[in-house]
Amino acid sequence: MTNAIALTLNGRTVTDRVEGRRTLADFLRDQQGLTGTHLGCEHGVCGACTVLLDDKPVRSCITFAAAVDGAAVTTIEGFESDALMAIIREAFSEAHGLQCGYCTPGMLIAVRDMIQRGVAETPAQIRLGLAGNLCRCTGYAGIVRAVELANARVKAPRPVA
Amino acid sequence: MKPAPLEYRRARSAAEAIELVQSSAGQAKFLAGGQTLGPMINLRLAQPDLLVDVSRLPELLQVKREGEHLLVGAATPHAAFEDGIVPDVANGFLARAASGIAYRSVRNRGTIGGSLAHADPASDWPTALLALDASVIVAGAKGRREIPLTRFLTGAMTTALGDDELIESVRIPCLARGARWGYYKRCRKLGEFAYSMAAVVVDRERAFCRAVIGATGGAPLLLERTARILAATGGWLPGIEAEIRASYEADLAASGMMLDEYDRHVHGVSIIRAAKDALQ
Amino acid sequence: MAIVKTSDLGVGASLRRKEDARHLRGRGQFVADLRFPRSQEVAFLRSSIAHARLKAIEIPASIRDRVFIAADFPDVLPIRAVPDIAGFKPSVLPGLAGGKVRFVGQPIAMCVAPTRDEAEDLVQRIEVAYDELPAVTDMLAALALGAPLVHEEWGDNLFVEKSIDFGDVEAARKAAAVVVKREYRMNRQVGMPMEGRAILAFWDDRLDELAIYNSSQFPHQIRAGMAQFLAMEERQVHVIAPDVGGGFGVKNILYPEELMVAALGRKLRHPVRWVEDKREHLISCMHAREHFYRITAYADARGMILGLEAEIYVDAGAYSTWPNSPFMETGMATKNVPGPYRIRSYRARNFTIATNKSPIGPYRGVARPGACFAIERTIDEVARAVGREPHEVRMENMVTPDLMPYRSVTNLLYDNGDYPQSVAKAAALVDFPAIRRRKAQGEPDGRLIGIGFASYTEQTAHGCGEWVTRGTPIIPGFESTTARLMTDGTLMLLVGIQSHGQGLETTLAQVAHEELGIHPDKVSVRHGDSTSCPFGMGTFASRSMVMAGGAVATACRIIRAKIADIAAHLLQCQAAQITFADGAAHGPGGSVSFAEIGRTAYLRQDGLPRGTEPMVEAIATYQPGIDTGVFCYSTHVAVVAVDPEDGAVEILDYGVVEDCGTMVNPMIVDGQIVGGVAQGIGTALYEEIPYDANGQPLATTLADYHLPGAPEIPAIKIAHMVTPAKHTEYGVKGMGEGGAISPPAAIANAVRDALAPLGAEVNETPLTPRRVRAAILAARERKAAS
Repeated sequence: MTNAIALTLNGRTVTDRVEGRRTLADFLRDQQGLTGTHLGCEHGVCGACTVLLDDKPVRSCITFAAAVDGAAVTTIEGFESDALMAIIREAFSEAHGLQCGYCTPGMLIAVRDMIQRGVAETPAQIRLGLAGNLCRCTGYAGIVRAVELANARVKAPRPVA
Repeated sequence: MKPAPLEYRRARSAAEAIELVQSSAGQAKFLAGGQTLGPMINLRLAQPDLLVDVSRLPELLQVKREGEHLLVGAATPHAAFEDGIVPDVANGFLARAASGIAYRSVRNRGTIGGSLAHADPASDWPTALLALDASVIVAGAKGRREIPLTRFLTGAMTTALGDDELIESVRIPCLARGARWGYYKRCRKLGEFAYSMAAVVVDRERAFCRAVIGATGGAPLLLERTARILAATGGWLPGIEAEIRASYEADLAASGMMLDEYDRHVHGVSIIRAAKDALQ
Repeated sequence: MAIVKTSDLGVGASLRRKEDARHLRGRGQFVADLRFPRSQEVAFLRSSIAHARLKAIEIPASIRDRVFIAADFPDVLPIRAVPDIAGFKPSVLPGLAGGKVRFVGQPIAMCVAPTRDEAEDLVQRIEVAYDELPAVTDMLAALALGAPLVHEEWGDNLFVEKSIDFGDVEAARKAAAVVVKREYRMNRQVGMPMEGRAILAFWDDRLDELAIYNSSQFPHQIRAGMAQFLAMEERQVHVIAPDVGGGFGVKNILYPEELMVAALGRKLRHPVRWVEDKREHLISCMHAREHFYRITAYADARGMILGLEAEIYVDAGAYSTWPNSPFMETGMATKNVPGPYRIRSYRARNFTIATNKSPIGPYRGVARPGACFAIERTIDEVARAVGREPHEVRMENMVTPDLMPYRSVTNLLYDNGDYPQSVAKAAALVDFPAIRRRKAQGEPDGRLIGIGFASYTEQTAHGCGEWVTRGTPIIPGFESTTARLMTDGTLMLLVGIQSHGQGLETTLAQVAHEELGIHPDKVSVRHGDSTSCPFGMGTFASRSMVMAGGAVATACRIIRAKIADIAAHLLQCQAAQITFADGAAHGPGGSVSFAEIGRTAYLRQDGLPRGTEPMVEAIATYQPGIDTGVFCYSTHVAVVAVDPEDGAVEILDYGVVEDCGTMVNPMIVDGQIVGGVAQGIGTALYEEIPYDANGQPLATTLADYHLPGAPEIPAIKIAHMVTPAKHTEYGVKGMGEGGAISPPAAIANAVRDALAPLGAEVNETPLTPRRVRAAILAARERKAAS
């Protein structure tokens, strides 16, 4: 038995049918071909699967696809023309905020939300905000530095060292 | 790890949700934020046949002030408390408890009703709301009833909720302006479940004082002798720490709860630190 | 021929990574992301019992064609990994269990379905009947007479036992003013890269080969293993590691699941894929770190170590993992216990023990975290026994630069470096005197402050001779590169290592720039494909930059010579007059671009000098100048606050002074250090898989197994020392694992320092709040009793 869903996905209207048990993460990856959202743990701890649901970061591995009928979902692929994400990406590359890249899409979406909410003001605050996104490669130093850089640039668009 | 087959239905009213669960041939569960149920279903630790989504029900999303109480819809996400969208009727305690729950992504979806219904001993809402003397308003096939948390939280992952009963809202008494609170918890790692947790509320104006410890492996424990000590004291005075330690030990003994030495000690430390926060 | 550096694009430049472009957009291609028509997903049925005979596997008839068990693969050989070590008892690990299961999680059957959801539904429908046997879960108990046997034919539970005896420990014992005896335990954990194991396999009819996409750190070695156990010719096995989401040694093993999925792809003729989930990873992926040590140190009144005795126990799990077997762990632990010290008398017995747990493998640092824990804690205890500061006693015991190259008592040839200086710098990094003052003052919140040091040396890029002594069946003593100038003058490098976070697509391009003056943006590095990449051993043992960097340098020099010849011909000058810069060759009278060189060499051979063959391409292998390895080294320092009430440990400050010789890309080096330290902190404070007496693992999800998040990892202060290696290109030493080696020791030493007023010490990782508090209470009891 499947459910019909209609949602706004990365700005486009999408309709599909999903089994009741299908997670949002698997729907995005397997039915919509958007493999940028990664599965890290599938029980809501690691954050690799983070996407925006109605503009809020959520764990897509423990969200049912059927539950997003009528909602707006944005995956990493949906930020191609996003000015804030462009600043964050640049900062991540500059500050070596990624190594293998597996946690990166979820990390970027969580970071963007933190900067938007104004809770990325100090390294200590940034570390707390990053708690929900695990990285096994970087030890977080490059990520924290990237968020600091991006946050500063968002507030002061002039080039910041 | 993928879920076993299940059917997903979105209810259009609380009454419909209850009816769907009640009439289900197989096992049916209410689904709110899914932050607890989701992992269990993915791990196949839970294999319900039907999930009834109540997360968007208007009855469960209402937040209103009713005299000296706040009625919060059960489907209110933790983030709504964290961000101050829910009115602050407890001098910041609600926002503080909520903002320490797991991680922001979880707080965007997880709900106060879901947390209470699940009643994990180490989760924040049961301990915090017990300290505030909150109660739940529950709806079922036989109608509505209100259950104070003292009676609702019966054990680890167990509550007074019937199988086809749905928490509709949570009633939280408003603290007086001068009321103080303390909330202390310890986690092995930030965002994971606490291994020790304590909440203290001292509201002299309303002659209300509570001391609660959570993360004991069972339902949160009311420390009645300790509450009396805290109510009686004029502040964080010399000797109060020893008094609290003694009353805590007495409360533990009276409860019959068996704890190992480490937990005994650590919970005592937590209640002292929560009390200090409240009284200093 | 000279290189003229036009900008900071070569060795030493902190170039931003080429890899970032795809990963920042979510355009990486991990095995789970690949899309092949008709592909299906695999789920494993795994043993739920630690030790049992399989009585029956009941599969409903309606699904029998979608379920596969051992009997369906008579042509697949079981995995055997037997090192060249006398007395090592072989274990036979079948791809799918047939007769016995020996650990919870051992794969028994594969189920195939269009989706993973459905494949797991099939798993649920299979019933397994077990004849349960008593489980062996404690490595010391496993050695006791009468213990249940993991492998009956062995007669005991020892893979192998070895002893060494160097110098004169007896004399040391007699001369000692101080004897320190301790037991140390490092508990079991996993590596847990964010991407777990993953494999997809299918038969490619066009190429008549088995195509295997595998999240692996060493595709050529996987190819060899697959060919061996699938009884195939290697020319018909093609292994491709696409994007790999972290490895840390976890993906330097050929696993039974991977072998069977490959066999299934060959059998079914449509693509089949298995993607490990985190519960599978915790239960059945390679385990790591579980060591137990008994150490006795004999020292003089100044704390100089006269002799050392060690009993080293490694809980190896149920089977020997391919290719290197668990003895690699035990052997390395034994060799590294003497540490960076001038200890000449050392006696050790080691025991590689089989238990009913998931088999161990080489996780970042490989045995050295345990050895470092044992020796560094002991040095601290020796210092305390003689009433001196631990870091000063440490420095005085160390090998000094004037003694180098220094052959350690276990035959490790420490090449160069200043170990004591790294300790002194580490103390300065965290302002040691200020910490001592703060400690003396006391904390307003009642916590106790402590500072602890731990040093290590890390043998890297070791060659043929060293691997032979380890008895590994495959000797990873070289690397290779093909350097290929394209017809348009851009460059392709095909390499045998595999980059999964280390940034080698960028840093090897920097090496090419160093040799050819070509811009790194004009260089493509290709890795991970066993067919198109020349034979390589892969990425592990902190070898990649030395080995692959050396191979890239060598191959680039070969083509540089040919480019110079062609350029000289085109410019009508001598080859010796040619210089290289900005992707062009320059002569006294003019310049010719690499594009022109390429066009001439491939498309216009009429322009070549007489006797010069067309094309500009070279394959080269590389081995460092010595086999014994180049030793990077480091001292870590941790400052902690311990809450004596609940035993919680907070890291207030953490410093690393590290010397890996010349750094090709300092930004990436720092990233590797911090990443390693984070894993070391995980070992020190958070990560553990306990087993119950029945052999059930007790941490099976991330709710129980705590990976450190950003709040748990402090900012890490890093200072570099640079002592270029003498036997490698550019003086590079290997690095990458070191960050994970010292943290458990540094943190345990810091906790020891913090709790010194109470007389408490914690000698077991992770240092959980319970263990710390238990140590405090035990110390109180000892004080009360005395």
